[in-house]
Amino acid sequence: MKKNIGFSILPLLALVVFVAAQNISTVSPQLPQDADAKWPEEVKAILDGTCYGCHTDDNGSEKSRNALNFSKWEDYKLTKKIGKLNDISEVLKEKKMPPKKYIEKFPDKALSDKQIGVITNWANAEANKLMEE
Amino acid sequence: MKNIGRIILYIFLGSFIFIQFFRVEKNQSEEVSQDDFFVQNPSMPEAMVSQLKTSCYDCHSNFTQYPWYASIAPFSWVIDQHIRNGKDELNLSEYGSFDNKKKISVLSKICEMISDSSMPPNNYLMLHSDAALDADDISAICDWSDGMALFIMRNR
Repeated sequence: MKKNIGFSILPLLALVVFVAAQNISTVSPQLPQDADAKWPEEVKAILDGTCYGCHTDDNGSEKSRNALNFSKWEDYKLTKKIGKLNDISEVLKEKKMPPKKYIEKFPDKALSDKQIGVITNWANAEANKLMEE
Repeated sequence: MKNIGRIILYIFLGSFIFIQFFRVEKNQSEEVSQDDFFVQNPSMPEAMVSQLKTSCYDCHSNFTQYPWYASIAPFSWVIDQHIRNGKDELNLSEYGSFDNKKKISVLSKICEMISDSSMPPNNYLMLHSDAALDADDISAICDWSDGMALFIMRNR
């Protein structure tokens, strides 16, 4: 009896676990697949760690989302994307972003010069690429 | 009671006169540089040039037109701070020196800021009603700036 029930429950259990596992997201917050899917892993890691917390849907303030919203990136027209990539480079280089108050609260969100270099290099290259389109 | 009132008045007047000695420099350049936004964009319709100068130039260029009260402290300090912040964010007198990507960014942002009424700021509009942009102004400026951004993108 016990053995029989065990055999029939096991595949069912596996199915339940399998379905549930599809809902676990490894990146939080989740971006629409289009937006950063093609961006380099190290760029995504930095953006996710420091920027998405304010600059995505349902996060940050109206002000931060109006300034830049990665969730809406695919809706941006080409010239707006180029403009935003330029702005990203600029605000990081000038240390205007992440905001000082934010870093005081969350010191681990501060970006090293190396990380700033990664993002600015990528942003410049990406903008140049878009300029060619 | 009367004495206290008089003392407070004298302190106030004394402070007021004292702070007038802390003057700030006026933001009024000698000449229009070649990099100026309107020099760089000679095709812009005159009416739009005029409107943008009225709405933007006081804080976003090297040429502020000061109202009479601007020489009086502490208003002079507040105005000076606004101008510094504005020029730091965007100085249209230097537009020509920006690289193409930055020009595109500026053009895109001009449309963005006026479309959601972030610019001109309300505290500026309170004292400069002629700087207000209506829906037609915004639409025209956005059309122009979007077109110019595309032009820059395609003609580098």
